[in-house]
Amino acid sequence: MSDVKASLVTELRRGTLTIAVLSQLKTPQYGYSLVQALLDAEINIDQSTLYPLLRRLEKQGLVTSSWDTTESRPRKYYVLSPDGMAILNELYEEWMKMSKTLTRLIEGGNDHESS
Amino acid sequence: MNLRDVYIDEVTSRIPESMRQDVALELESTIDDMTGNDPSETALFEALRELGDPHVLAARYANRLLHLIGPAFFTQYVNIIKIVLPIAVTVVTILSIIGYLTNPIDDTSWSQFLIQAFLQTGAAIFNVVVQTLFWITLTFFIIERAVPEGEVPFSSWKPEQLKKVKPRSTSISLGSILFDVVVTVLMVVLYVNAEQLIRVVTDGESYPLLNSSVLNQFFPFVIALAVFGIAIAIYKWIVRHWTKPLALWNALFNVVWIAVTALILLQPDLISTEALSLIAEQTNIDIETISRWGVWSILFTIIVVCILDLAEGLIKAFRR
Repeated sequence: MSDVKASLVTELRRGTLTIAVLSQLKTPQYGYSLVQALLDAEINIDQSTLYPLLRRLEKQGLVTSSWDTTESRPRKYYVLSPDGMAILNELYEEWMKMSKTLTRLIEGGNDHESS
Repeated sequence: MNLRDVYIDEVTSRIPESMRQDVALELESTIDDMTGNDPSETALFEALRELGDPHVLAARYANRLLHLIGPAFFTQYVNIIKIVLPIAVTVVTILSIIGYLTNPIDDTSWSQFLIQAFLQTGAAIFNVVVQTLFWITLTFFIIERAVPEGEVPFSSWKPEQLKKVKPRSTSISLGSILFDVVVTVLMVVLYVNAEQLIRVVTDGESYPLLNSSVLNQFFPFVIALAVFGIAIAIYKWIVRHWTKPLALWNALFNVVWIAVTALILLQPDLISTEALSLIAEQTNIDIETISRWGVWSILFTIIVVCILDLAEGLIKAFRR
């Protein structure tokens, strides 16, 4: 039973990864700090997924990156672009809608009244 | 080179040149962030384990697919194999049979010839199966990677297609059609090579069972019959289920089959006297009885098989 639950939860989380990552990039982050920020929020993202994902988002124009060489080791910082900001807001709206719908579906039981 | 750099190299050597340096630098600083400077081997391995298989990481960086053929193309892939493979196998089988026809046995014995023929045909079939699968898979491998995500290069399924689906009870299987073709070709080979292939063998001596001069008179009939048979097979292959005209043509074909084989078998001097007397000598039965029994039992078998085939078509086409 717990196996089934674990795989369902993984599936459920997969779609939310992008929105979680975008949400953390309102301020510039480098790879490892981003992993830490997500871990603090109890989102465990596979690192072999995260770094390629950041590159894809950059290619899609949702984030921009820059190298900071002033610290002890050079770090690549990612931050939301204006387009990324707009997309994040839209995704957030979608998420709220979905969340409301699901709440209504689950708590409404057999009540089939449409909104 | 330390193990961190080996790992980074394993990744970057598998991604496009343009992003190599950047990815290498980023991985370097990320791993250092995870382990701190000058880590122990255990700490480094811990970090690398989290980053995972360098092949997978590289594939994700390069946006490469981690499968041969994905769900978008898999059904088309299987369908094409199902269409092409039986045809390829039949063609190869027929070609190798024709090969024996143009290259008859000389001094090798019957059994040697048969074993050789079976082995060579088997090898040819194995070869064509492997080749077919390879080229179809390669083609789909390329299509999978050439077509932009979300585009459908083949026409997608439409409910209207259901109108064309014929009921299974009247359908003709591809296997039975191919079987017909192979049998037809085999018969022609037997007929043309009767002198070499149909022989009476006793210790030391062997004679052709049939008089080739009698057989040769029927050459045009046999060829016409074979062409008729192939035409019926093609007809079946196009229609793929029993229709009334197909069943009638098939019935006519079977009747002609019976007529031509009867005509050949009932020739009085079809069986060579040398062979007959040899059999008679061995079995102590008189020549007349042997030839009559032989001819009529073969003819009877042919009539039964033909009538069964003829009836199957008619019943399936005219029922309903």
